[in-house]
Amino acid sequence: MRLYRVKAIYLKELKELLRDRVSRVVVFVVPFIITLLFGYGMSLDVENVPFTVCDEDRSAFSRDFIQKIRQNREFFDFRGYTLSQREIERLLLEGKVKFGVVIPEGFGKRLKEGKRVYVQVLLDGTFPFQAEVAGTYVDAVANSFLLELLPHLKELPFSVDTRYWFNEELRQKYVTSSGILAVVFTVSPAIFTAIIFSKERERGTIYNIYTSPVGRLEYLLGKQLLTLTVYTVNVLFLFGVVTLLFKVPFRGNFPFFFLSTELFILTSSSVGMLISTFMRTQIGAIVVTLIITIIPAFLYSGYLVPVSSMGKEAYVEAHLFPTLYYMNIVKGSFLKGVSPLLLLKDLTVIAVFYLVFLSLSYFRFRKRER
Amino acid sequence: MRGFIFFFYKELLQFLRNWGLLIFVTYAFTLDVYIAAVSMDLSLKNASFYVQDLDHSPLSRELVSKFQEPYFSFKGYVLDESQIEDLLLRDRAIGVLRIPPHFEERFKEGKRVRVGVVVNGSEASASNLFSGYSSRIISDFLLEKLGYEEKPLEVRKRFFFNENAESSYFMGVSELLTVLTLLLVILPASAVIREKEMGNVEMVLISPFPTQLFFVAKSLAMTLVVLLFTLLSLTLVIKGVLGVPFRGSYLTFLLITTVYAFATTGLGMFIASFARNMLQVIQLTMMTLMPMLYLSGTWSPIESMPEFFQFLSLLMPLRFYIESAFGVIFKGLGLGDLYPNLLALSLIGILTFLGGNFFLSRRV
Repeated sequence: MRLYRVKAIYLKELKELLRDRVSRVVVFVVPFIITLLFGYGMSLDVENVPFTVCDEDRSAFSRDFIQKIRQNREFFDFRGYTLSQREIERLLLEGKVKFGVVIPEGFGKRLKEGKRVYVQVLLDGTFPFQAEVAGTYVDAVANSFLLELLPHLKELPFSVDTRYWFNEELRQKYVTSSGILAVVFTVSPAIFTAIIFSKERERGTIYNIYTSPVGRLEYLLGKQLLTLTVYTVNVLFLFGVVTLLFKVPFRGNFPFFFLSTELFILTSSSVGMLISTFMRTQIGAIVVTLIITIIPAFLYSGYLVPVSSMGKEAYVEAHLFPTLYYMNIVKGSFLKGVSPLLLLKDLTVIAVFYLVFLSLSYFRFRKRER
Repeated sequence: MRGFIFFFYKELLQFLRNWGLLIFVTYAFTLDVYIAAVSMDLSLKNASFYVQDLDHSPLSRELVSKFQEPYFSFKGYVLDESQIEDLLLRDRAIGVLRIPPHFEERFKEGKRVRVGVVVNGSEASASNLFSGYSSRIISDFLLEKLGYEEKPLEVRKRFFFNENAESSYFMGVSELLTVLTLLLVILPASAVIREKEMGNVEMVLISPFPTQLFFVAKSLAMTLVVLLFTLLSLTLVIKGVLGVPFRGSYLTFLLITTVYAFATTGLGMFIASFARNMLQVIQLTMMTLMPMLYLSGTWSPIESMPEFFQFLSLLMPLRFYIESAFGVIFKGLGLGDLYPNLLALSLIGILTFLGGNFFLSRRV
């Protein structure tokens, strides 16, 4: 292997990218937009849920109860009273409110007499996650209403102390916006690399390579180097976005995080490289890369679903893809502040993945048509 | 007209003969929708937890037994702090329950006891639900032990449109809408770019066949393909495998989707007119579609977005579509309820479709 040939391939690719007016900008904008959207957007915090109340009781107690719900301005957005349950159902159907509370007649009277009462909550189940969380909030309101009502219960003989580790105020934004880095750096370098490889094949410029003295490894590495350059800029930029814009604390070791990210980008780029050795067209290479990377990146990386609660199959599947190990490094470096020594194992696994993918591509890539 | 039919037919043939693409589209509409529906579950399932029990009394064991599947999954006992730290650092558990020494003794004597819950804050939705569920279980359990067999105030919940709040219903439909939108943009755009890259466009330009119609044929052919696959996915995956109760009529759904398809393929044409190669098509599509999908409420409800985003979402044609699509499927709404949305959508659709096609033929 001669380094100057790697450099020649690299410079050729770099020039090609720089002369492509749209791509040279867009390549940086897309990862940024994705990070921004998921940071702000994958809002799992349920807020401002519009609701209505049908008060059939109209007593001091029922008004008190309604007031208690309305106080939670952050979670609930009161949209006025309704007269009947039928009207609530209509509003739910039209999508005007997401839930309605029905307080039955005799609510206050029965409470005073110490009899059991119930409140009915009608929820729009179209978004099940939101509906369930909203229901839990109403539960909590009812609980605290009850405790205030029963004077002898005011001092409960027990308490539950909940402490959140790594994320003291439990800001889900921290988790979704730092975790998206692992998703972005899995999917987008793979697609970028798949395109720069399959492009030459589809256009026929690959014959220039076939007839040139450039070796297989030199060719592969030269192109990978371009992916690395482009994404190094992205890494630094997105790191800034996550720490400065979303204010996610970074508690780890930056040089270690940076190096592992670079290695991980090489790994995901070699996934795209390997796939493009199988495909003849660009669109084919792109779609197959998308399929192979997106699902493990979102579902089996521990981004949305915790790895520890996965079923056996999913658990095994998660370990067959490098994103999980990189996600450990991301979580370890951002929220947990784990020392690099503990993360060395994950880094080694990523390195092994890289060597396997690179050698597979090396064997698959031939300097002649099949 | 003959020429138009010919080109339309040519597009369909070309699509069917591209095996890779055909397999991908089939995958996206069937298996991908299924996988997303089944595994994108944000509710609390089998959350692994450990217990640090410093009391080892019948009461503490009974409390632990209240943390049941399918929400929780008990993994074992831990002894000290360092073990807890290790578990959470390695993501082995979502949380650890800590029961203090002399828990039963003190509780029976009526003294204050404190049960601790340590939650791993580095998980997305599970951490929040874990803490909510566990503190409710602990309070309910101890209240019951204090003699409040039945709570005097009960909240009865009834979920409409999705009675068991089944997450797979929502995720399946949401994924179908995402796939459908993505393909409505990418398929026509890539069909155009292929001609551009191979230089076939020049042939059409010098032929007597009007260039606009050439592109219209392309977008219509791809729309037809997507609609057929949507029908397949709806009947086979959404209704068949996932068992989503489809309350509206297929016809209404397809009609709305057709109108929506005009708006989206129009967008694809705009992208195709700017892009010169596939790299650009893919990047431009991601750049426009991801924000559109997000803002339209496909992934998370609009009310929970930052206010600025809520305002932006009003400008998205997709929002009207998503609202109507969920309405037809889950609520069984018909054309009578949806005509304002449909009207708005057709207006936007026709404008974008004509605009996109016109723009494209000007820029070639």
